[in-house]
Amino acid sequence: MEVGAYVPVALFLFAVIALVFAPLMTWVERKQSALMQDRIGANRADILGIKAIGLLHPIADAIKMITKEDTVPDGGDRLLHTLAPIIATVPAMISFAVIPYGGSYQAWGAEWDLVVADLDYGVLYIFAVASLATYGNVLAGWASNNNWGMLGGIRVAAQMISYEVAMGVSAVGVFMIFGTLRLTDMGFAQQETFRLLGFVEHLGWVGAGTWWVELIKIPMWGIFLQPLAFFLFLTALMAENKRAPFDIPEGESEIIAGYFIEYSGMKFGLFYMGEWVEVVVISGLMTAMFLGGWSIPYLPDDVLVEFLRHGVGLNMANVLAMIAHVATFFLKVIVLIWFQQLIRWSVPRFRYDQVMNLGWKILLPLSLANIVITGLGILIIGEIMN
Amino acid sequence: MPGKVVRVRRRERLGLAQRLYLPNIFVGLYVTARHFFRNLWGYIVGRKRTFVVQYPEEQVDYPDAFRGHPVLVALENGEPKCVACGLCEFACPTDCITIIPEETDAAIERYPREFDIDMSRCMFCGLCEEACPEEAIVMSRSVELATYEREPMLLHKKDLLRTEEQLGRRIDYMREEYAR
Repeated sequence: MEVGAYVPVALFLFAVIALVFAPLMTWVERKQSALMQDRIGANRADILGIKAIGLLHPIADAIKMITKEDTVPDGGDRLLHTLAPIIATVPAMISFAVIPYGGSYQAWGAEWDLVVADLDYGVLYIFAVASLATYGNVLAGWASNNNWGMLGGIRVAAQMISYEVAMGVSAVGVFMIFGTLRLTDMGFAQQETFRLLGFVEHLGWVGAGTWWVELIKIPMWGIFLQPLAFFLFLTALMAENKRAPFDIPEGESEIIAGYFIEYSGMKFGLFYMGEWVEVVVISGLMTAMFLGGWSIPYLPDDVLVEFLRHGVGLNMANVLAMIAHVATFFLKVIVLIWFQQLIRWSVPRFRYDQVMNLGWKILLPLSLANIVITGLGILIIGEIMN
Repeated sequence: MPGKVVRVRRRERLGLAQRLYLPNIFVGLYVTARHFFRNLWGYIVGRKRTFVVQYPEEQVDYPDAFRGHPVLVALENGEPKCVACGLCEFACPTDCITIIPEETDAAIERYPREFDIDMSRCMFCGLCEEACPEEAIVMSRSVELATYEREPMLLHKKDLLRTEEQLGRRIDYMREEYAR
């Protein structure tokens, strides 16, 4: 497929992520926290009396942000002050490029791969690009000519370095299981199921095809194969996202607002937008790596297409399967977004030393142990299978 | 006899569940998630479980003891019950009441020509109500006084007049309270 064919796919993705999810996140954030705290939440913005359960608030927010005065502090670096929010936001947006939100489909002679860039080193690309966002935050703190801003920027750098180690190491277990860094291959691999008690048969304790061995089948999702890595990776990613409970760089009670203290208007809004897009990216990445990506559990792609083609023909069957898979993917993403918001509004924020302790003394050793356990497990299972 | 000294034994060592930290987080997440789904279900079926009052549209019924800003009780002919004795003016700790009395030939010989209350100084203490021998100045239930200028904060006689029906249970409560 030549490059031009990616354009509509990329545009669709950009539309969904930047124009639907990010503004909706402001609504989700307000409404979900309200429901969790027995409140009602934002519901006042209306157009001609239509309130639409507060869904118009993102529009009101955007108008407010854009029309506000945009100030650069005296002594601040005007160029870097303007560039910093862009540097902080763009990586979050482009890192969605490698996350597949559907499989591969043939319809009317064309092949549809529902991923913008199917890179060999997919996950590494996300790690690399996501850490670029740190520069935006550090530059924002430095260009503000403000001590609190500077402290916030330094804290961003410290926290990102601490948690990137744990993040990278905890993902290694998943790479070992699936034997790939390419997220589409992980997605295809996770369509399979495995028998939880299969080892009993392979050890020769019972005969082949015993009914209770065949009964318990589990999808080969990352969360079932690597449950520890799931929690470690999610924790590290949430710390990377630097929202509460890991909002050390913002530290409202200590350094007021941290790196974006001197920002106003849409430049201020861009930092928040970047964080919200990051929440979506985290959910997409977790879905692709741990929750089976686009696949519907117990229903592999080819079986689904085979089932659908009886009524409507192969082409339409492929299209229908594609729609079902995209819907499944975004459903999983929405569940993960909900879970992240649940954590964000439940867990009290950590102190600075607690964040560092958690990163270096708990997450890193545990993720190293996870690699050893995974390696041993692969060895032992390989022995049993033979 | 000296009192018995009770030594408070604080748990200095945390239990295993607390040190692991994770179990308690899941307990917390369970609590917040339960509230989330309960309220969400309340919205879907239309039975709200939240106790938030949507203020300007919905208002709670204040208790009888509630003191809003003071108002003047009007007689049936629309004139104030007030006889301009000046006791409330004297009782007022913030000097926010200004009365200019005048005589008439009617049955009640005195009436206030001017009766101003400066709401920017009033502190809703209710001493004027307590001092009044005629039940002519009464605390209302109204507290919505916000304005953009200072001028409207100075309430004149015509702004302050209320009929007894408008004051509702407050007059009964007042009689009961001051009769004690």
